[in-house]
Amino acid sequence: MTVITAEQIAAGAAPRRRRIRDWSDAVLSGYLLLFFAYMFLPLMFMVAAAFNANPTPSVTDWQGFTLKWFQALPRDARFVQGLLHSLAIAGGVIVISIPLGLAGALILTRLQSRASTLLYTVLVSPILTPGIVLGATTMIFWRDAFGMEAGLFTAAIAQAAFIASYCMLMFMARLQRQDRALEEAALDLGASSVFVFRRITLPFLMPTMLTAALISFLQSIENYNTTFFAIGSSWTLVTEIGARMRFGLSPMINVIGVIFVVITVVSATIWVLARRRGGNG
Amino acid sequence: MHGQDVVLDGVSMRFGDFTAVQPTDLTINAGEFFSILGPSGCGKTTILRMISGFLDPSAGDVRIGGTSMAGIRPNARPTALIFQNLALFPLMSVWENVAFGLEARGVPKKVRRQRAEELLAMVALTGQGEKKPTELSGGQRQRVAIARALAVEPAVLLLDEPLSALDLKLRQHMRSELKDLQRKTGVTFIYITHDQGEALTMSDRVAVMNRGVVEQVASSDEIYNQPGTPFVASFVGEQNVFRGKLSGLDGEIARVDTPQGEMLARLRGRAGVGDEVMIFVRPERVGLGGTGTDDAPRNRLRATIERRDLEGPFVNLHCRAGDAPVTVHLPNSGDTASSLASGETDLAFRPSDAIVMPVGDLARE
Amino acid sequence: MNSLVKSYGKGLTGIFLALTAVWIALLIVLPQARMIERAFTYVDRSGDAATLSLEIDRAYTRVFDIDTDLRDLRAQLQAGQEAGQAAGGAPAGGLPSPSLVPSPSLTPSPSLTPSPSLTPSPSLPSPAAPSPGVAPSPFAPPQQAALPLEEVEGRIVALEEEKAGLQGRIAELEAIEAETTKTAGISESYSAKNFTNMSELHFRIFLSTIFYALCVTLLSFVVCYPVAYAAATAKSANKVALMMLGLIIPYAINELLRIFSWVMILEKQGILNGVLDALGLIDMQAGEGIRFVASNGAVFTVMVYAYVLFMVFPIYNTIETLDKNQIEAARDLGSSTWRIHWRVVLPHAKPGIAVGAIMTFMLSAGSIAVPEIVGRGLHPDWFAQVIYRRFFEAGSWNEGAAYSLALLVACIAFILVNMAVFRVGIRDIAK
Repeated sequence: MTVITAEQIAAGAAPRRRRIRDWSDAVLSGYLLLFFAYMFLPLMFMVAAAFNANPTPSVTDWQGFTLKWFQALPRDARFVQGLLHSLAIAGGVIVISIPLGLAGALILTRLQSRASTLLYTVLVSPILTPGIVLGATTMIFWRDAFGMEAGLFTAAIAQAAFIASYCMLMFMARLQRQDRALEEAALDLGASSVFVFRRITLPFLMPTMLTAALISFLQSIENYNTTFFAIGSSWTLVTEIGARMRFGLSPMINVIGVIFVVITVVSATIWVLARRRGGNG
Repeated sequence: MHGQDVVLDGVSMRFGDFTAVQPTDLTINAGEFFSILGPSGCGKTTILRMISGFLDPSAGDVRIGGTSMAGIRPNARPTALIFQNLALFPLMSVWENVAFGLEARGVPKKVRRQRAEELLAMVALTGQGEKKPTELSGGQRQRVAIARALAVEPAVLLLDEPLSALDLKLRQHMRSELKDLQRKTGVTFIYITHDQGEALTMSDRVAVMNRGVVEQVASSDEIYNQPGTPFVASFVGEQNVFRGKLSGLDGEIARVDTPQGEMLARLRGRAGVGDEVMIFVRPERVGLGGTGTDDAPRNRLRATIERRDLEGPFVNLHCRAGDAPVTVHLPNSGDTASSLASGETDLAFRPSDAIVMPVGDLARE
Repeated sequence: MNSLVKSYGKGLTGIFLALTAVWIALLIVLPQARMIERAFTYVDRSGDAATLSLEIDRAYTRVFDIDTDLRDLRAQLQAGQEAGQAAGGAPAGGLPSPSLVPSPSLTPSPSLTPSPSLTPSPSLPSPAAPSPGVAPSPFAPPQQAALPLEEVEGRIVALEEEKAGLQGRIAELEAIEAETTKTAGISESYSAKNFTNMSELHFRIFLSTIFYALCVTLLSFVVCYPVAYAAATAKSANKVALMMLGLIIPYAINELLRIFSWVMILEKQGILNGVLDALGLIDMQAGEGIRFVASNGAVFTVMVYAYVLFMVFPIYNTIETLDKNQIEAARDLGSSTWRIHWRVVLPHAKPGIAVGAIMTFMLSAGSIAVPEIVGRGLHPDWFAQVIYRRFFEAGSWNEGAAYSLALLVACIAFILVNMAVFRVGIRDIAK
């Protein structure tokens, strides 16, 4: 018999297809395992070495468990001062970025003209500009135009240049979900524009405002490239880490690493859990 | 609260090349329940937004209580709008929603609170003030929106299909509530809807709109019984339609040659002998052939019954006469109707129940 | 504009417009404009005044070097006297030369450059500073054979004489400079010379940096695409949450710390050599060990690690919006895995790929952290470092501006090419 029915073809093809699928799934799983090992192993080494008494950060040359590097950190004046600088800059960045990002987003969501794409391009361009260029231009401009030497102020300005763009994108995403009828209803009930903004729009944006502040804070604290160029003779926690690392490795940096890892893991877990609950609810 | 009249004086609205509202003159009397009825996209919402001030007319003038509204922003007009989706403020409690207009006017909190309670009592929501709008049912939210609009003591209340989100039962209930409220407050209501049932039951007068044009403004009875245009005739209520040629005129009564035979009907509009015309007759005005008791002349036609639906008080017969479908609504008398499930039957209607109109406008459809 | 006033009223619209205008002017456009102006302003240093200031600079450099040497020699002398012997590590070469240690806070040349950022900072590895990492670093200056004490003393005297002479000369020259600057200033003119004068070496570095950045981008895509696909198509909620966690944590950890963790691995006494040692391939006790750091390969490896995740999230976001039934349908119709990706998933993920590529390219082309820290100044510079040196070591801000502009133009070109290739608009890119 040479007649083959469609059922026979299907019966023959299906298991084969499933085999291929299982096989490619297995390859993908194996690859993921490798990928996450690549991502996490170095970080684990970094964390482990923070507890090694060896003054050269190492996990292979173990000289005993210690917490002395943790005790040494708060006594290191430059690190502590750097942290204070970082916090001051981050505060400044939030104060600058939130109003700017908000104003830009409010304008862009309501501007009905061809200029809006151009405006949008200009306002997001800092995100697409290399950090060192932002740092350098800020440093040059503020010195040439206002005689302002590079320092904490220029660092905050340079960071705010691109962090404000991120804030703007967040506000725009939120504003696009806003029901225009709410504003119109308020206006119709006799509210002035300012009253509508204060009583309707701002409360609606409040959650985004908090998220944007948090993200601005983290971006500012973590920033290296831009800050490195714009900060002049001053320093932040992160540029100080960079300066130390050029001289060689110190377990104190591992300790900072451990702190960062703990903060990151905790907040990422909270975020993922919150997202899951929000997604299900 | 006192209603004010609204006058549209040659008002039109263009968006680029598209004309949403053709130049329109319309007078809505103070204290009237006025509906604007039309299919979606006919321009009724545009008119509403021009009255409330969210759109500026391309030409013409809107006057409320005799005052021109040109250049007056929505928050300074004596109107209040109830949005299709209600637009309750989700972050505020029910009473804060109701008192929002007062808050915007700088009324002290204690007074606001008290006024909100009064209004909530009026719409039967006593004690719900502390809840969030999302905790209320659809009908309750509806009432909050009304209370919120009435709180600012508008002279004109504009309602943009506010019942469309409710289920049928609630919708019918809210109709009578709205009508009562309008009578109680004396405020001018301008009610936008595509639901003819809503328009006909509640309104003192109805404007029927199509393609940016107000086709007819009249009482509900007149709209239903004396439609002024083919569009109004076909949009409001059900109609049986026969197409034909005008073959003669005898005063108001026209003679029309149709594939179903010669028919007599009242002529509305202008038409001459030889013109393409349409005959409209309501299903409830068509009877079975043998049922007539008076000697009035009748149009008779032979039809095949295709289906019989029982709809409570009515029995609906879906028939076919030649190529024209004919629907007949018979009162449910309890016994005779059930035999009429199939077969041929004679149908008849009085010329005074049928109207003839030139095809004219409808040919564009 | 009318729509704005309608939405927010005149007052608020004014405030928003003013804020946006300030943002655009002070933070975006004017700084860029100033940089471009600087880039096209050529400073002619061949004039008398320029020669003069160059000579003064040189004298200061020499004085500084002498100071450094003197300090070391004195320390050596003291140590020698105390120990009664001349042994000890007297680094006759002084500290590593400034060009090797380019950090603003660490460059030991306070008076040479116009930038205020070069003031010596307290973090100079003075004996008092608690920097345990300094001692064992590969940076430790080469040990020199000890000199006899008398010779040390002799050199100290000689150096001090030279220093005194130089200081006199500096005072003299500065007096002349103060008089002549009014008349024979450094001449400035608009020209493209800052670009055309770029040395062949710098131009080669520019090209190779772009090339490396392209490689990092391509490699990141290859590495990330399967991960993004797996994360976006994972079926159980737990698996998705776990994968998100696995991606967010390394992504959110500071760039420098990610780099640091790799330097630990690649260091001469690092983990990789430790593993090789354990395998018996090298003997670390005997000082064997491959110095993986400070090579272009190491810089490249670390860069991929540091920026790889900037590719994952944009791709993940786009694949997530793909209707998964499309994949099932394609599979049902008998498409091969390759075909499904080529015809269904990849086309859908295009905007995400474009965004990821742009971010990864921009970050790696402009990265200063990776080459500075991994490279240790011991390998050929990357372009970001060249820019840095133009600004802070050569003290030529105009050339620095020109080089920055070159980098920026490269990034813009990359963005435009991406937008054309992936057919996406600017609004798809910055989301």
